[in-house]
Amino acid sequence: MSSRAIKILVGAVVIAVAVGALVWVGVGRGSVYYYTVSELLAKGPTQQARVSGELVGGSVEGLGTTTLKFVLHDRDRSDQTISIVYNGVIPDSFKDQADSEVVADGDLVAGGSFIATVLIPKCPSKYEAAK
Amino acid sequence: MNDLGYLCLILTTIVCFVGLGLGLAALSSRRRGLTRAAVAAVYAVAALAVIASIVLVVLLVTRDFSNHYVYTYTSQSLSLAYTVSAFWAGNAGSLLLWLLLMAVFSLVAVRQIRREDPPSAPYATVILLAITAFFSLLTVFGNDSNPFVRVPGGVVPADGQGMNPMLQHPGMVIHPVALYLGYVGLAIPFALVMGGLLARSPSTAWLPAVRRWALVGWFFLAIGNLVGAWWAYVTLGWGGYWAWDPVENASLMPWLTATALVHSVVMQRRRQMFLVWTVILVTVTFLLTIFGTFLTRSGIATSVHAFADNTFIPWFTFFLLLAVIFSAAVMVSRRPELRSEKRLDDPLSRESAFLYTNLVLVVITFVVLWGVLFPTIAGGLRGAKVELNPNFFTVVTVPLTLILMFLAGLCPLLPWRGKNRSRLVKDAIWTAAPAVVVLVVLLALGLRKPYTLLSFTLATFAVASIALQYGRGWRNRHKASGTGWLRAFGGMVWGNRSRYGGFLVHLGVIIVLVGITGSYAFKQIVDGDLSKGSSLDVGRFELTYDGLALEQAVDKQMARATFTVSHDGRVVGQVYPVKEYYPASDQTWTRVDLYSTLAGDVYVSLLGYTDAGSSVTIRAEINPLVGWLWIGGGILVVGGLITLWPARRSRAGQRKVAQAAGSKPVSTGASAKAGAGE
Repeated sequence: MSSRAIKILVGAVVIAVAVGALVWVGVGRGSVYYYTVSELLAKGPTQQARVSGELVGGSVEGLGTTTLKFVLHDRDRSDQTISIVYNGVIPDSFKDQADSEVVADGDLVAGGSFIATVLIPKCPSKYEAAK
Repeated sequence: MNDLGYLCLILTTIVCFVGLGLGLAALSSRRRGLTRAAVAAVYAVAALAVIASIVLVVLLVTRDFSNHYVYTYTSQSLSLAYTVSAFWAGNAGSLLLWLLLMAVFSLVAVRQIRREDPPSAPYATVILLAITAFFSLLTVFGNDSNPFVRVPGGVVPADGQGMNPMLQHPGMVIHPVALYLGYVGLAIPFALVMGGLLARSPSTAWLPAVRRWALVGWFFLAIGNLVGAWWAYVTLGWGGYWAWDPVENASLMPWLTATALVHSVVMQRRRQMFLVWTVILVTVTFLLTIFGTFLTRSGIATSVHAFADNTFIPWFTFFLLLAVIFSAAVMVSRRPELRSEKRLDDPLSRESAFLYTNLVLVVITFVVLWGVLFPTIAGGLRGAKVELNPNFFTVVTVPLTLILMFLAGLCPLLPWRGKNRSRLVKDAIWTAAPAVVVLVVLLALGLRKPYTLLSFTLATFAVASIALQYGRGWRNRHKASGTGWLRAFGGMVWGNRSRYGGFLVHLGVIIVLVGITGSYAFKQIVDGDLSKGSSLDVGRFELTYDGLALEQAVDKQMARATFTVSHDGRVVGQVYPVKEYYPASDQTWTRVDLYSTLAGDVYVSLLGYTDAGSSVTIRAEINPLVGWLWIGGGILVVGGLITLWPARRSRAGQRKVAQAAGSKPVSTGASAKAGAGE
């Protein structure tokens, strides 16, 4: 191999390793796993989780403030519930409607509450009229 | 009217395919008449697309609610401007806009390439018609992509459903159009490059046209992304402007590769290098624009921006595969032509710096693409349902963007071919000195975040480097021309637009990056319950709650709060955050209001209120330096316009000169180096 080819090869390997390391760290810090309510309850305390479930009617507290509390039940097993505390701006699309689907990102802490940092109410797209 | 519009779409599709057939026949038989017929098809397609678009505009403006699209996106009370902009408020209309732009751009490009590089014109014509044919097929056969469908039931409603209030914003009038101009603009270089390669034309013949279209596409994509960010910031109310949402990433990726592309075109023009880079980047950029359009429409990625229509998935998969196979085949069959005549001489030359810049841009694109596809890949491989949140994107893109900032400062200091490095050390001292001063001052002020420190230091270095180029060019021009300082400056910039416009674009991007750094590093959030007359401290600002006005409009209920903003005890202004409720659609909209200064914005959302406003709950944020994103964006636009401004001589004159010299017009440009990542 010529010295030029060796240089290019070494450069390529260095870049590949550096980018690989960056992506590795990024995936570690940015991965959010999906769980249903019962899956998350079975797993116990978890950091950086995304839980999806349906709203338990009458459980919503704190609308119009920055601390929202509500309870989600599993889509298939309504006896499996998890209480969620969310701190932040409540999305406009969040509605106090029994059995509407809600997705929350956050941590399940010891004691059974889920501290959410992101709330994604599932609703028809803002950009297309509901069909 | 509906039928006329639909008829135009069907005819567009038919003419596209007829033209495609004629063009292919022309390529195999080499009969000039067939080529002319294919070109005539390009003209006819453009005319039909224009008529179809006029029909849609007429339907919208006359508020013809017998049309389902008009019914869905407008209403009697909607203002005229937003009624026209409803053209691209939905899936079907925006596809028609795509088709219209593609057809018109194709026409311009075909005329241009027939003049500048006649041998490659028949190939380029066929490729352009093929791309247009694909999009016209979608408008005719897609599930929800024909804007000329009548409302079901045959009864014309008295009023339409109206436009989503969030879309009634100047940003949403500009953002989609700019994005599509960018996407479609970047499809043209693909056709021109592939045409040039297939015809075995020398790259000097087709490169000027490729350069212009690549710059146009790059320019509009930049505007589209920036305006989209601005709209999100002032309407969505979460205090940010970029969420690393899949659809945002989809429009960032082709912009990154287009940035690399305009750089490699500079190298090709000046140094006859980087031809392979140019060809590959043109192709990848085109594929990414198609992928972006697909991602926005397929519903594959969950996003606030998307139109969902999964009937598109097979169409786009087929088209993307076809484009990949076609371009790969062309590149393989034209390997001898793709060899660069020259090699890089030196790792510390201007040429090498361009190479490093392009490498970093491609790497950023790759990691963002990885982030977009990761959920699908992980789901397929491990069955895990996993997504990547913005942490991933900041971890991977921030260090790479810092490298770009460093290169933006270093590149202009390096001599071409690495020769004559005598000035390098002196220049490096002059440009590094202000950067070191900024670093020391920030450290003295107590700033310890490494990325923030690096970002501000490298930004200073890059700005100093640009200033040095401007200053030196100005002084030399003044001395050489003997004109006044002001005239010399104008003459310098105008005489070498691609160089000085390019530097201005760099300056704009660096300023945008400074704004991004500030808004992430120093953001403050304060939540509070305020009774009438009481105040809340937010950083050095103070908000005093003055009262709440409840209003009832035809379509909505509004609660509008008034706050007095004070800065260091002095009253500076007022903000009016609003909470709106639309009973018809059962939608709430928390409309933020902000008080902007160059140092930062006071960004206030009204979250709730009690008893007609005796007390309110608000979130107040200080978003430092966000205004610099829009200022940097403005500088980028000015720089882009200078770079894009056509040559002084008229086209006819230029052609005469070229003919007289027996060659192509000599390009005047130097290094138009643009861009950096998010």
